Amino acid sequence: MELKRQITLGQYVPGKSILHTLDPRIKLLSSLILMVVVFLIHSVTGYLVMLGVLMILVFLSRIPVRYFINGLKPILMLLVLTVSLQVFFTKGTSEPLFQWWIVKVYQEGLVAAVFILLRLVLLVFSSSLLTLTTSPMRLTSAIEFILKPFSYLGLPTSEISMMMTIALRFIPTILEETDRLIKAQSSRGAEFETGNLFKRLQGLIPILVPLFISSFRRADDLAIAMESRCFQVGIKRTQMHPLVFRSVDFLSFGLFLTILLLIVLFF
Amino acid sequence: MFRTRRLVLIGLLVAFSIVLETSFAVPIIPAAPYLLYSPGDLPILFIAYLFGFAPGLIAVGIKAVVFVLIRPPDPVPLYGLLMHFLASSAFVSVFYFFSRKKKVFHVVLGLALGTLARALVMVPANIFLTPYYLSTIQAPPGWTMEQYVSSVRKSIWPVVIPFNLIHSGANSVLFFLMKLALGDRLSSYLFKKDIH
Repeated sequence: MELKRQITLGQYVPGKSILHTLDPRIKLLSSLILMVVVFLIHSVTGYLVMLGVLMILVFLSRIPVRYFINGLKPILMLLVLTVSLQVFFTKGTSEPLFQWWIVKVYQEGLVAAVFILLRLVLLVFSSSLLTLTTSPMRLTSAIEFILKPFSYLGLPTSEISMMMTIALRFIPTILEETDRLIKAQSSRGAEFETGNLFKRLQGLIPILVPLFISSFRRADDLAIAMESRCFQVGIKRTQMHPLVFRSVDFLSFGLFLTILLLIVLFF
Repeated sequence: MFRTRRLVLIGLLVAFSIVLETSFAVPIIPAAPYLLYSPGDLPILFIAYLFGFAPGLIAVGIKAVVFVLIRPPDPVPLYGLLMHFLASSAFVSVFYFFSRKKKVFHVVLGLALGTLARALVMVPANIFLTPYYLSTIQAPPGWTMEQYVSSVRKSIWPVVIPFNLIHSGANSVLFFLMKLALGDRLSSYLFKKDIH
């Protein structure tokens, strides 16, 4: 049994482009607005213009396009299925462009297929643009900032942010440990991919128990290490690299919003 | 609510939950191979069992957000995030409410009712949210919202309810077996004092 190797910490590609250096809060907000705008546009032309804008952003990020195309791989089946459904099941009003046996392809079907393909590609590209240019730790800081108003309602926002940081930091470590345990159990003849669900669950126990125990042990060690460095829950924490808005962040955000507004108005 | 060791352990168990969610996902309903079972809720159940309702619910939220951050991009990430949060929080909340006394009977009752709660919550969640997801990806094409709603309604009994019952039922069995296997270690952890 091989663990899925695609669990990398985000898809972050380190770099020094203007998109990398922009404030993560601005990028997160822009990404969300971009996704909303994708749903506001109802024409292929509008989507093509948006794709053009996104390609400019991809160019500015200085990240090879293949990284963005790789982001489409996990939804390749969904793309193929959705596009095929549009092409073969959309009924047209005019004569079919192509006809073979019961298969009829209409112009409306092709247009609908291009439309939905562009919509899905735009949605994936807009979230890729965020995760490829922003490290998970900076994204966590952005989420902590967004959650800050809720601290007045009693939500422990800085604790939530710390837990998120710990979770992100330890995913690779736990993944490696799980992989090692699976290999150790497999070498003793354990089967993880055969049998019914109950058999598989039984097979998981010898892996889960040591993982839980090591989590408890690691939590003790890490807590002692943190407290010996004067970490305390409930007191205001400072950051080594605090997030600071710069004028370039506001300028970029303003320009981006203007472009999106123009696209929505004209398409 | 949190002390350092609790905070660290919750962070680690969330990481563990994400590893389980992504590494051990298997389809269980042949009619819906896109719905995957994974034991990802198991560490979250332990968080609720050890530390209470609020930490359990916060852990569900953190898991859903971190999951979106680390997974390959999804065309509609908010849909997955929301469904994930609703399913796990229904299960964990009801489980915590009934198993507070930590007796075997109460734990079993909490697991059984939590399983039912998840299945029940996911019925309206699917009826209200999934049609929007389907219309976003337009599958099948050219359908009206009423048609998407009706197709989701048709899948409630054969797909949604059995999937959620099997998913949470399997996690309940695992939780119970794990609780027996961990035994004293868990109870000693419950009463361990924090440094601060």
